[in-house]
Amino acid sequence: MGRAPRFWTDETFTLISENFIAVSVSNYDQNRKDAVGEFVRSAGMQFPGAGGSRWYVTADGKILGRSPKESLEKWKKLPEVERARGAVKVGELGDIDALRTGPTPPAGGLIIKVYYRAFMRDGPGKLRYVVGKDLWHDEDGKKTEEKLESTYPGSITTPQAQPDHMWLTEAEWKSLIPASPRQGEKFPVPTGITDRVIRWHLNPLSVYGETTSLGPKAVRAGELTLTVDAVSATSVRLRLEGFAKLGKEPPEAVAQGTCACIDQWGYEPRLLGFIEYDIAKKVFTRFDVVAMGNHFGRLGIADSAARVGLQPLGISFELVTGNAPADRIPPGRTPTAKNYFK
Amino acid sequence: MDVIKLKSIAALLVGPVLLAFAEGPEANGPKTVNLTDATYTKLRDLVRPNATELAWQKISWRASVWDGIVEGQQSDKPILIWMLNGHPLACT
Repeated sequence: MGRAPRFWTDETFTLISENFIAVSVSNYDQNRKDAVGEFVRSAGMQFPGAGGSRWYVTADGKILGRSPKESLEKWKKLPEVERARGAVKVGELGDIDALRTGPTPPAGGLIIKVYYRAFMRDGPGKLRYVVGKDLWHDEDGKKTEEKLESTYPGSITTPQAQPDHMWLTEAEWKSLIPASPRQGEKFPVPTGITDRVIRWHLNPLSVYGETTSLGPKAVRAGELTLTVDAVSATSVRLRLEGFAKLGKEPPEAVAQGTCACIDQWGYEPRLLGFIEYDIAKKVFTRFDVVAMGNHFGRLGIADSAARVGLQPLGISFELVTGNAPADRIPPGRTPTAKNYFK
Repeated sequence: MDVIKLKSIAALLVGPVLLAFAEGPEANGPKTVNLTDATYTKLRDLVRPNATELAWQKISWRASVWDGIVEGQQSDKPILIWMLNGHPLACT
């Protein structure tokens, strides 16, 4: 379900924008031991998991329906005393269940928006986005998502750019800027940041769904370096380069492009990027990095699909302000990010 | 840029459009997409979401059920709660 275009049409956007208070939360909210969890449970909302769900409810927890149109009609038929402003008395939120809520971005830190995208080769030197027939659920392509896509157009979301977030603490991002930068100076990205970029943010399982970091054994090799590209009175520009070898090396049949790998994975990206620092304002004005490399194996956790052979997988990193709620979702999209800085 | 043009671009990007790139062989290994200064911007923009994929941002999402309840009660509107393993604002 998720962001499938089949549901998210212009008509739906307009209907929801004009008539509903729209809330988006993690499934972890349903088990919260606080007023939020109580509201969800007493309303009878059930959050089914990876497929996601949408609930249309009143402020006192009455479920209206399963589609925006049906729910709006039912809402309009409610007696005025039930739906008028102030008709429902909302109590106090009280203590929050900190165990089931996600962490917030570090004060003074940076939020980097990360996007993951799977591509397909389509002849020598040609790339395209994936479609249903590329998404295999077995090794030889007998079970694909082609039928699903043709029967229900716009129902698969794997081809989309998958968002996530990288966080840097204030001390971490400051550590990227040399005290006295000289053009041409080259130095390694600090170990802690390198490790987190590689294990959290080059994790190809992030292409579809929530993730955590890769274990140390999944990293066969990896390196990130910075070079001072340019220095002026007002700014410093750094060039980031690197690589990683993650997971397994491809089985021969996968390397030859004759089958998909369902039970193993591997990803070998190269990285290139540009970071700019405003000396007077003491802020980063640009954090722009791309990772691109061959991948095999599933494009996410659990029963997600794989592509045949070795196929390109790209990741982009860009600085965001963090002002929008969507920019403040924790890395990996779950409360498990509590271990993010450990 | 007008809306029609934006929609046309989005439609092009969503479909199986072919994109030509130079590929370089790894030493004794498979071919890889060349990530260089010359290809950087184009590859980055292909990874990032297109206008269609960002259309959900047309809605002003709240990230808290409680904020939604309070606002719904104050504004005489029903509440949509959209949830997903992970988080719908950061998963597709």
